[in-house]
Amino acid sequence: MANSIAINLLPKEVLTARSRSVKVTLAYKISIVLLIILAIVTSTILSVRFSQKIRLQQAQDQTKNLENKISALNQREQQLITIKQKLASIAQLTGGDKAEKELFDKMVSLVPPEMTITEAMVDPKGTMEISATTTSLPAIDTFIKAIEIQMKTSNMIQKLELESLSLDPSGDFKMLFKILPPGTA
Amino acid sequence: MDTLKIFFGDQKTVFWSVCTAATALVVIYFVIIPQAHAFIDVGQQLKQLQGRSQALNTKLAALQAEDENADKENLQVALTILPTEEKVTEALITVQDLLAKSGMALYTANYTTQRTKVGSGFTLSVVAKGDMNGVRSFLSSLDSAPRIFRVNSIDVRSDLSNHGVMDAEIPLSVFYEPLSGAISTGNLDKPLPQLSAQDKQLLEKLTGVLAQFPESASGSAVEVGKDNPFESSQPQPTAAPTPQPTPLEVAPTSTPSASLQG
Repeated sequence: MANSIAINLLPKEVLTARSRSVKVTLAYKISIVLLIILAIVTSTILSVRFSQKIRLQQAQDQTKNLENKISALNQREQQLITIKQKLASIAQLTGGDKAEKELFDKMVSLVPPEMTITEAMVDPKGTMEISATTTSLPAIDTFIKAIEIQMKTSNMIQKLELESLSLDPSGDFKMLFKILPPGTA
Repeated sequence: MDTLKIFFGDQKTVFWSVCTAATALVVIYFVIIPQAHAFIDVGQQLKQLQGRSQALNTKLAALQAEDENADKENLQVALTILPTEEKVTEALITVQDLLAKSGMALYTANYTTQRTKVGSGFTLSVVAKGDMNGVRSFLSSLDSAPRIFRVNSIDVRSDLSNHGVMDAEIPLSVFYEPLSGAISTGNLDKPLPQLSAQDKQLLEKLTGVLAQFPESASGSAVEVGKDNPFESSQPQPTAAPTPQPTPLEVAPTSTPSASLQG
């Protein structure tokens, strides 16, 4: 292997100038590339923005158009909203007295034929009072037993109280029952 | 001048680089960054608009599919059962009808402005005469009445002067509901409410109830007024010996005093 020796005989000024020229060319190239990239990015963004603006305008127009169409059908919507509200109110307001009516109906239906109701009352709290007369003592027992069966089978009554019982000289038993609905102390 | 030329000639690489960098910074700061921000913002706006547009489209389709006539009928049904005004006389006529159908007679009726505990309503206290089965039937018929009646209390006592006849005193809460102001404005973005299966079932039931009371459902205009308002509407004693009963009058079992007190 023979060692080769390179000797540059060009003057130092020429070498310096050449080196500077290479640097300048590189700087020019980088700058131009950078500017071209900037121009491309900017024009791309601007064109995208422009098309986006057009799409936005179209979407706004479409929405406006739909709004107008819906506004034209506003009456239908109002009708439906009113129906819905009314039905909700009707559902809420109906059936509030169901327990009282059922209690009255049930208690009256349990009164045996030998017994006559002189007064039946259900107060706003749902407590029922029944005044009745009878000539037959077993009828009272029958009525109490019927109510006790009801108490066991349904959740309609909480307690039955015989408030008073008296016997008239005429032989009539007069009594007052108090029936407490569930949830009363 | 020559010095400057020499300086820029020597430093033109630096000068060119600085100019390029400055231009790039200006373009990035004043054009690219704001436009990129705007692009993101408008993109979100577009997404929202598309979502809204889709929702509006769905609503429009639902609105167009709605049967306007059926809705009108349903609204009529709902407004008859729960009117926007008190309509005291109509309520009283309904109660009288129900009593008559139950075999009872209205004895007295008393309207008070006492407000109900729930919703808007008034109290209508009625005293009726009849037997116990009639009272039970009347109470059960209130469930299928063309108005909403709620029984506040029940007081039934035997009429001592008339064996077998009971006096039933039943204060009723009668409901109505004024239209709320919010309905009239409407909101475009709110989805169209749909009648649930429960609503449809209730509507069906109410329509059935009103079918039994055609006079309540029709709401037809009644001819009112007379030619001479100062003329008595009572029949002349010579012309008609049997006076026609007014809607509030009942069969005179003892001493009827049907009244409506305001």
